[in-house]
Amino acid sequence: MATAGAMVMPYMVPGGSLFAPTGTRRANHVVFCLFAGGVRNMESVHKNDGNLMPSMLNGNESISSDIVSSMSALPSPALSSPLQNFGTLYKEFRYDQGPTGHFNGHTTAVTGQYTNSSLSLLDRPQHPTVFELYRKHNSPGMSALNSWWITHTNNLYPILNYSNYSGYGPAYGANQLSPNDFFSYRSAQNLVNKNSFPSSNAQLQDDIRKFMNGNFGAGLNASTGLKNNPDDAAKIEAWIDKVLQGITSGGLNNPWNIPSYMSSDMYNIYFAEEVLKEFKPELLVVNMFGVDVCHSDFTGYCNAMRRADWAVGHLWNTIQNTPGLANDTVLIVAPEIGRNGTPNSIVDANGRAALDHTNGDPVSKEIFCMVAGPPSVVHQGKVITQEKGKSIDIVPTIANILGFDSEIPGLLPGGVLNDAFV
Amino acid sequence: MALISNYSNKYFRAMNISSIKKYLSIGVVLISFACKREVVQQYEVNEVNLYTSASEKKNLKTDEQFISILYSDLFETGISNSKLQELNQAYTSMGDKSLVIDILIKSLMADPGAKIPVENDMRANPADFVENVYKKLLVRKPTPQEEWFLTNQIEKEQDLTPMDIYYSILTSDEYRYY
Repeated sequence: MATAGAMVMPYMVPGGSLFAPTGTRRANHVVFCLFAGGVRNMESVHKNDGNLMPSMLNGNESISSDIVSSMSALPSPALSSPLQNFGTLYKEFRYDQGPTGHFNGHTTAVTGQYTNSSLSLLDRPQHPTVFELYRKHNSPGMSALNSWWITHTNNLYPILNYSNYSGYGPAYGANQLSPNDFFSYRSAQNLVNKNSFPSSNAQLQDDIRKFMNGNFGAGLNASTGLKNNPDDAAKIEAWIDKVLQGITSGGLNNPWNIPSYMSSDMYNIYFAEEVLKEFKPELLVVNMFGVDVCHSDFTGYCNAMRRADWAVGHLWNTIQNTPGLANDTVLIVAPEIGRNGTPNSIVDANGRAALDHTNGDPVSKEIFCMVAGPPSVVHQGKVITQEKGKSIDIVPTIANILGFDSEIPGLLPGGVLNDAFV
Repeated sequence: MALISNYSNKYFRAMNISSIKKYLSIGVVLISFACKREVVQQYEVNEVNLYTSASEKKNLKTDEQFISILYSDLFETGISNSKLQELNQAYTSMGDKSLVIDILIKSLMADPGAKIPVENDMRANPADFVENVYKKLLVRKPTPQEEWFLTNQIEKEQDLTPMDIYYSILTSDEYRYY
């Protein structure tokens, strides 16, 4: 693995092929958090209802009096100082083109390409994902253990772990996991007790399986998806076993000790942290979705934003306390889309009108982006207030951080968020 | 495809019933997912056709098909909708299907209700065991080469158990196709 800032020289592998050189890296790990579900700048960085994101944003603005009593109790932020002090905040970032739907926004976020209304919710992306670009264009090629897509739900979004693009696909996809579903108590009860074969029989089993597979002409085609190599699969399975034991024993019930409860967003970040600690992947993308309650409950939206903010603070704190990740990780946080400027007809218990994100008005395209990282890599405490940066710039920025942007010329329409970097 | 019309032994009998349930349960599952009408699950015993060779299997089983067939193969009964949902929740939550299938298979095989032949029966007549396990899990007869290979493995490897053979077949490429 290359160290930050080092140039990796090309070398001949035992098989005789020459890998292309990997470019200079700014850091060896990137975590991209989709602060998702549709967040307006009005409630986030503009703080129209007070500072709902004290883990990420400076300021002591009070939460609006009409909703403050509905806010859930949360522990103090996990960070000694808000996250923006550890990086650069683009306050007027833009989801510039395309329908303001969740799937469109997510697809743009992971491919660096805008979409249109023809996007199918059932089909994989038509352009390579950041996971595929990362795995294919590093030297040597990276295993799936280095690339994770942690999804809030097992519905729709898992298929964003690789594309249908020619020359890419499952061979370069990310390990996708939906922890809220996979590690639910009900699911865990089904999986926690496994038949344990004597290790001495593994070879016998392999011999039979190989014999059978050799006789079976069809073989596995692309539709069967991503597959870890046997060593990595064994590592993942061992980690899963550990987590399942923790769940069924009750040890993972509210592991953050949140006074009210841990939301599914929080659990998703929690498990993303567990993946980070266990495997120290070079690229991990995680999303959240709780704020989408705003379709019918504006106050709930604000509350969900506070939880998501708290979780992001915890995420950064975990990164900085994990050897191998600390001071060598860039964290990028951005919503996938905003929300409409005008409310719908639903009013919550506090008299606040709900917000959709479906009309594509300019407000729904206004989002923020925060890039946090080591002081030697990322400008600390910098705030960019003018309109700058687009959703399609995040993938090229990740490529630049991990040193493979020069390997994919012309493939991405966006540019690197250079203002964030030292 | 050859039509099975009589039972030769207990494995054969088990295969036939479970395979029939397999196809019926797939039908019930597909109907359940296609519309909202309440479906009364009813399983009956009918004859089943075997594939004449593995090359006839061209289609990858869907998630629901894989799980329901796996369940019926191991438990010789159709999977309930609630159990299918539980297992499918795990199945659809992990991108590496080979890994999650491996986990699901090992979990189901650990269930005391799983109907897997005992070792004494396997060793008493390896050739019969091989033929019947192929019919039960792969819905076809083994080729002479396959029968020789597995029979030889059973006779040669004293540590090899029916569990090992079931696990190897259930995690094979062919088992994912129909």
